[in-house]
Amino acid sequence: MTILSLTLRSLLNRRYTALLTIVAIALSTALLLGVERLRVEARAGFAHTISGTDLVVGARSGQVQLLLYAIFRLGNPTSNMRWDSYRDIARHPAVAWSVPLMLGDAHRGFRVLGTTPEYFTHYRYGRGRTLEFAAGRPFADVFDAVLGADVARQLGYALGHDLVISHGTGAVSFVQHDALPFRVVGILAQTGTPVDRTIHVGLAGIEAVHLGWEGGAAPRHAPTAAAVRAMELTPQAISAALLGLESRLALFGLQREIQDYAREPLTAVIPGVALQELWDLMGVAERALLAISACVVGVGLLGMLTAILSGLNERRREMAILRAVGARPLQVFALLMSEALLLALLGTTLGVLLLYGALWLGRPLIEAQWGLYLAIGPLALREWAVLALILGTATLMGAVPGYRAYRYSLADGLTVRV
Amino acid sequence: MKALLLLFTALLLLACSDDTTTPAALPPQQPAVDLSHALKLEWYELVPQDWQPEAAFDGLGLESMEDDDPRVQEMMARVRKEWDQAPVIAALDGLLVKLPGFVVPLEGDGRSVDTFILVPYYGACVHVPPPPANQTVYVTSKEGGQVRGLFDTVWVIGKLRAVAQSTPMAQAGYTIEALRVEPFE
Amino acid sequence: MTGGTLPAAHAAIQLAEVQFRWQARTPLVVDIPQLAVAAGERLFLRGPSGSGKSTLLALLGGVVTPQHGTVEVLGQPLHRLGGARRDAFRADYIGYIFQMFNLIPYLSVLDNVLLPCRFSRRRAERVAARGDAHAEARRLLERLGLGGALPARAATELSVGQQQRVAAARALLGGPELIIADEPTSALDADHRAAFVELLLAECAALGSTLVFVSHDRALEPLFHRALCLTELNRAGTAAAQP
Repeated sequence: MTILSLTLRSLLNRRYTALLTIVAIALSTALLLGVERLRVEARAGFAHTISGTDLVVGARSGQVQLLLYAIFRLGNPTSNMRWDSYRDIARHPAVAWSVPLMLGDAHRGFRVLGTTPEYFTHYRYGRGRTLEFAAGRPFADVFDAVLGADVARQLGYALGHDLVISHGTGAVSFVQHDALPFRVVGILAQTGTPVDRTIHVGLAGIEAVHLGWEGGAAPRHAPTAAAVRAMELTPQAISAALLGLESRLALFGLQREIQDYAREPLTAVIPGVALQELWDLMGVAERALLAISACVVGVGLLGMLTAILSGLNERRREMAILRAVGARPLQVFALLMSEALLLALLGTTLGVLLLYGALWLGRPLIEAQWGLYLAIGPLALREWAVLALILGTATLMGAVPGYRAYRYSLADGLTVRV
Repeated sequence: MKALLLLFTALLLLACSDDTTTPAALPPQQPAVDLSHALKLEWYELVPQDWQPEAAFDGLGLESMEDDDPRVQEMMARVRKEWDQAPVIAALDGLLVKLPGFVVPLEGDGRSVDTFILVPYYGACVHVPPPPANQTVYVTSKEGGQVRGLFDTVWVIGKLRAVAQSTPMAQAGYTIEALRVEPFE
Repeated sequence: MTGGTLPAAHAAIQLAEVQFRWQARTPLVVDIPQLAVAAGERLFLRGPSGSGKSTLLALLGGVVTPQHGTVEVLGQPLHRLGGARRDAFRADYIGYIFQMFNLIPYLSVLDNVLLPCRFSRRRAERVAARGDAHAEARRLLERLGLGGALPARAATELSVGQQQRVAAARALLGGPELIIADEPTSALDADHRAAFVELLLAECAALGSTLVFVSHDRALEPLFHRALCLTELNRAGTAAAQP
């Protein structure tokens, strides 16, 4: 205890240097832990987005790309699959249920998804959780819309509100489908997935919105809502479809069949596999980021070492005094090692606080921007190990000035050539 | 000093591991099922003696055709059908088994995979048809063994179900409720 | 004038045939055939720099051991003890005063005085036997003219004279049997010199401690029991420079 209290007082005496060192270590620790957390949470976020869907089918494209736009609403489909193909596949005996998806439009930056009411029963997320309604019901009419939780909250929409769909996925569009507004009939409960930022309408609704758009430009005379309802609004093509199988052992067989489908080039993706491919792709970048963060921590600790070492010469007198009052050389060694340990301890503690502060502040921003929900939980075992490792390294580094001090005090004895 | 060095090394290894699960969520101890009695299976043992997957190819003359020949598609479809109905060995039903294989992940939470299909070979390429139904096993694992991801090699230890005929409840084929999933050394 | 010998029972310090050099193949720094200091004696050691006085004090304090000869302090054969035991011995039985920079800058005056108690249980117990450690330290400081708010102040806020007196208080706390003072008045001006020495001597007398006072200020000599010249005592003489 003697050594520790001496160390504390000694550091207080050099508090500005000590503070700089502590802040350096704190920032680097927060960076390392933060990078790791982000990595883990991003993976969990992705994995939790979809559950219980056996295959995702779409026009031929890369596996990851299909998954990204169909499920995560990231990116855009390059081409669509034909409605006939979808019907054909949906009728396959191995398929238990199927849900078509149509993407491509937006409302004030939020994506619009055209689908069937079965979406609300078959789409699962997390560990098999189903979508729940916070208010209202699924769509039934052509112009009904169901909002994700974030859409309703951020735009302040409630049941009965009218909204207009824009063509394209931008936040602002110069071409609105004003003539045919949609009405909110349902609002979903929070899921922590891209569902929250999506507006759901029926396939007929999307078709209605694009009536007369075949030329790629806005129609001159838009039909009335009543006339639209009376029309035949079966889609010609869809962006993608979700499939659930009777038995998962048929997965490979059906996947191969769809990939080899004669009438149209298609891709069938097993979500778990595509996600894994995505993570393997990201893995290199993740590891690089982690390595860099570890180096930053190393730099922070080296800074600490430099600070302690550079002040050592002035402290030889101090060590001679301690020797004179009875300190053993090993106690002098311990004094310096405990200084390194104390600095690292304060630094890592501050670092953890910074981490939680940043997470707390950044969470709503990240969620709004990327739909990624960051769980703010206590430190995991691995994170404790990382902290302990930092402390251990700092202590070992403290052995360097400790040893020098030890040698000084042996050589100097009670007199010092200052 | 030695103890400190050992501790340091242990911490280093722990920190570098990919295990990010928290200790708080330890699964409740299973009632003692003796896993050492699990029957170690080879993949060929899952196939009945009298059924040969290659037999489906006899007489089709596939070797002489190009990959994109439309007749190939047709024949592969036929082969596919036959393989999807590949028979299982009923005698294996209910046994505690230990089977090695490669993981094709289906459900997980980003850290571990708790539902996957176990296959006997690595990768799936376009030229080779996917394995017949009796060479794939559907595995569910409550604990979510530390399967890192795609094509990880593991040992699966658990109770094997072998269903011969498709019913509304279950399709023909093998399933294992895994009691333990360990990395394959 | 030689150091003389005394019956062991009365000797605080007894050196015989002591030879010391800092490094092999360098000339001897200390070569003392005999030195004896009685218990309770107050000895004035005179010697210029280079006469080996710092080395002699290091030998007396148990910081180093001689290559040849015996060093007995308070009956303990220091030349035969290991480093740790000598450190412990120094902490328990010896109080040391440097020429200057005696105090740890980041501790208060009071904490500086109490330092020996942190490193020596014996000193702590001896202090405790007289009452509370803090009270005892304050008492000593007052006797040395440093009462009032001074003990709480940082060591760096004091004048040189005050710092030397704090160093004296620290050396005296717990009444160690041997006090070694290495030119403690060199940094003081003439007015304060005599006052400091008188205080120190008075305290030593009260405690019955042995005092070895090294200085080149001959004006202080009369205040002591005995005065020795280091150049006559040490055969290694003035030529030996400190490494």
